[in-house]
Amino acid sequence: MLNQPESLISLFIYFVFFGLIGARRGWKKEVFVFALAFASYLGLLQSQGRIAFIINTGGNYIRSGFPSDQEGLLKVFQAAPIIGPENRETFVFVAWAAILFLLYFVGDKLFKKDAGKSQSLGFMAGIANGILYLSLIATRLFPIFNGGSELAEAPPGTQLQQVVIRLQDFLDTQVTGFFASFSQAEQRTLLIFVLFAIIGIASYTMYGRKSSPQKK
Amino acid sequence: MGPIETYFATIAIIFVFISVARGYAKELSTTIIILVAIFLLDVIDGRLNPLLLALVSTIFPDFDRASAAADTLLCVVYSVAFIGSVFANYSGNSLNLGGSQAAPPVGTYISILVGLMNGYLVAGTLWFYQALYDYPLKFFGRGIEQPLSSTAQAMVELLPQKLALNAGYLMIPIAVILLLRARG
Repeated sequence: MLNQPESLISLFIYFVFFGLIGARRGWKKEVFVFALAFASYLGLLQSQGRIAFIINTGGNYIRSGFPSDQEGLLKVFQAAPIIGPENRETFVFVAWAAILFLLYFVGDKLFKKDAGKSQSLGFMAGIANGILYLSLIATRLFPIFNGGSELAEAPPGTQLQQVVIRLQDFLDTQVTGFFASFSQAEQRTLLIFVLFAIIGIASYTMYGRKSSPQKK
Repeated sequence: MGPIETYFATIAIIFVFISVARGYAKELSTTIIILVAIFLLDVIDGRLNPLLLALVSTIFPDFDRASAAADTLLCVVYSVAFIGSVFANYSGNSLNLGGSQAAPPVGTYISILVGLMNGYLVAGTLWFYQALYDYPLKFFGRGIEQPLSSTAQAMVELLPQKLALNAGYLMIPIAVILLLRARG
């Protein structure tokens, strides 16, 4: 029901939470992330066809072993696309998520001493980001909870249990589906590669880095 | 997640906490010991079994070499030998690999990864010997119920001893560590 006071209070808490984050981080960082995240999402939606074409052509060209003859090039264009209509939306969202992550990183580097100034502006910019998150990220979470209506109507005190159960079911299905897409031999190769990679990274960070000169 | 997966996953998670507390520079030495123990047990497994069973048969003439008791005995021998090797590394003088680990938060993330890997190797090896000798622990009641769930059956095929054709491949990362150590 739309007129529930609990929903109004929850929305208030949600916006205050994002507002406080904005006030702490500073308005420049928040506006930077908001403007570029929104613009990049629109840009991705607009140019998704062209980006998909470049990735599909480039990817198939590499897959085919960089052909230079006419027949080989024809096969590149005839090969099944890496990004097809069925996974186009996933691609746009993954690309946007990567840009969003990068924007936070770049924003922190660009506006280092922004926090603490104009906290009210930061608060409002934080709320704007809250709305952006609600529209672009939270909407992707609703299917996990069947739209959320069942959760809202669950007996008081059982919501947390329901959320944990649904998250566990969702992750179980996703992980099982992911591993089922590989053969047993591929799974073993993947696992041994992961083990070697962990050992490689750990030993490289122990011995491979040049130690920085210590200040005296 | 069924009971057996939970049981071994809990062991793996405990190793994550240990790794975060000790740091991955020390935990990597445990990884080496674990890999060496897996390799050695893989080499002697099968060769030692007839000798052990013959010894027990000599002491206890009624002992049936094809019984569940024989499986339990072999499982206990290999599991205890493996646990002993891991415990020796923690309680005794750990291998000193030198080097310095990365500062937090990167160092903490690597510690978690190394802990997960050690947890997988230890829990996976214990599970492997349980699976190899038809789950002797099931005699103790709860925990290892048969038949295994589909998830557990899939996990059994990905235990450390089943990753490569033989455990010799597990020596490759040790060689890499030693080479980096010599260079570093």
